[in-house]
Amino acid sequence: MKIRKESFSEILFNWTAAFILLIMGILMLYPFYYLLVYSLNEPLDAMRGGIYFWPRKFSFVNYRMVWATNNLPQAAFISVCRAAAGTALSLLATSMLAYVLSRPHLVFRKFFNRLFVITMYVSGGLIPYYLTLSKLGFLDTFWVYIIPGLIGIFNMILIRTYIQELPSSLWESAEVDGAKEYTIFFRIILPLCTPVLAVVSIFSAVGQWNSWFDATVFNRNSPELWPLQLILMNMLKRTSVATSRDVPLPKDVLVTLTPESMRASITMIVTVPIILVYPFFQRYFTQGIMLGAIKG
Amino acid sequence: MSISPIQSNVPEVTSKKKNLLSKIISQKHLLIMLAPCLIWVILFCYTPLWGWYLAFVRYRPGFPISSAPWVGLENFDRFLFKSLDFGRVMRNTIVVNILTLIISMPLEISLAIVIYEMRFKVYKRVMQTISYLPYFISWVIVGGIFFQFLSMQGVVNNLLIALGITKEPIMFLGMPSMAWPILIFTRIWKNLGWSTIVYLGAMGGIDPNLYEAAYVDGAGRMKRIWHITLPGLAPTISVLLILAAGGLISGSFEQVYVFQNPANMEYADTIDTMVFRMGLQQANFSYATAVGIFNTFCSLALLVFVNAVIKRINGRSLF
Repeated sequence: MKIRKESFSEILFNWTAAFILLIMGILMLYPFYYLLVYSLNEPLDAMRGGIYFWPRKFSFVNYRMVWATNNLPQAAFISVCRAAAGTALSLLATSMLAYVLSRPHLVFRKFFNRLFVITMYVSGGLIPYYLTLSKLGFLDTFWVYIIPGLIGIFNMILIRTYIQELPSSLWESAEVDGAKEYTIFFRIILPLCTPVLAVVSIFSAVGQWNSWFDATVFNRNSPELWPLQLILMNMLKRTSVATSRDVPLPKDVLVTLTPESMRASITMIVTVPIILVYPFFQRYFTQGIMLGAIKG
Repeated sequence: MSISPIQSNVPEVTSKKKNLLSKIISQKHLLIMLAPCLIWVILFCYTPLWGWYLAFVRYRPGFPISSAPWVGLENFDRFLFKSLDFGRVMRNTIVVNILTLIISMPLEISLAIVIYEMRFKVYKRVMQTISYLPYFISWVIVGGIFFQFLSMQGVVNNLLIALGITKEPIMFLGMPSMAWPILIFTRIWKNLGWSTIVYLGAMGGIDPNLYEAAYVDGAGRMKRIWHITLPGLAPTISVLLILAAGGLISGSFEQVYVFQNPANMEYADTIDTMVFRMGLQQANFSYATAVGIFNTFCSLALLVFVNAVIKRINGRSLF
């Protein structure tokens, strides 16, 4: 009798938990799905509302229009470039610094470590930063996306901790063989750091893909350098989105466009790359935050 | 007699110097690797600090900085005592942060417990993956999504009308009174899944023997959660609460900037967005720099305070 009762409450518990998780999943996923459906519907028809699960009048017109105007292919190119170059260079610089600062016998080690870590907490602020970059000639260049944020101090700490936990015999045997520090770093240590480097590069790639603020501040006058996110941002900030009057329509497009549909489709274009790579990288996430928590 | 100690010191100093020099030479490869990083940190992290000078002068863009008249603390005085900005941005930042914390923490803990207790492994993993997704998209995309949801013809308004709660669609995004709820809700939506990870990690550290003992004693699932899991989470919760106190006045610039518009500005303006608007959009460099400095030092003071509290409780500091 007792066992039966308990197993019933167990079953009830399991299904309640499953139901709660389902609700949570819907809350997290449905907004994306709704936007997808909305963006695939014919714009004027979508204005009438009532589209929740499936497009009523299926149409690609929003995507064709959005892609043809707003300089989108160029913006997509910039976004991909900054994500690729920014991640690669930042990974190289950050891990190199982490390696140097992890060596126990480094001269002035404590001083150098402090010099870098303090910058996490004290910064000049937006205006001085802007003036500095302007003096250094970074305004209206592509490199303003890459160089000023080259080294992530938090990432450096993660990698440094990881290197410090590697067995010191690695260095001893390498030094016996007469290997120089570069060789030890590139040939021995870097390959061993793959797990932590994977985590760091995912976060830095996502960060690059998602950023728009640097573009709006430092490349204000160079629309050809704007990433996708900034195009979307500008669209959100405009009360009325460019309609057929301001932009040349492709010849065979004979529909009226609505700001809502344009916004929905551009949001999808910006989101899809993240969603596509997401499942592959997902397993590294927990690892990443655990590394962070250990450092805590 | 008194000369000898000095004499004996001399060779020691030189040998120390020699030691250092030979150490530097033997580490030349390491130092060559460090050099570009040093240049980077000086150029991009330390050079901007000279710009704090701007806060103490009346600088107008286009004129040389050296010709700007010295005004002392006037810019700080204007921000703190002469304008209404200070009270408004502080109120908005602190209220939104506190309300978000109060609402989100129980939700995060409940979700973490539900995930932890889930026995259908594959289902659990799928749902967990879905719950992290919003964390990885930008605030701009979140804006794109919620503008759509909350628009006059959006899902939320349709739902409210269908349920008879309202007759006319509500203009959520343009209503000052909706600014805080929107900021709070979107922040919770974006971070909920991700923040469960910390709690799940803490639950992984709870001694499994406790659960077994409770099971043998006849405690059901709910009882085990109440008497073992929740007390097991208490240290984590207290650390997170203290950390949140450290971030009390740090706003989330991107989020607030996305959702702010002329209509709801009174309730959707924080220090960061104000610095951005005053400084870069209105070219009020000196005032914006002063506000930025004030913010940096307040955050730093909070952080130091929080660190001291944690040191007191845990016996070891966070930083």
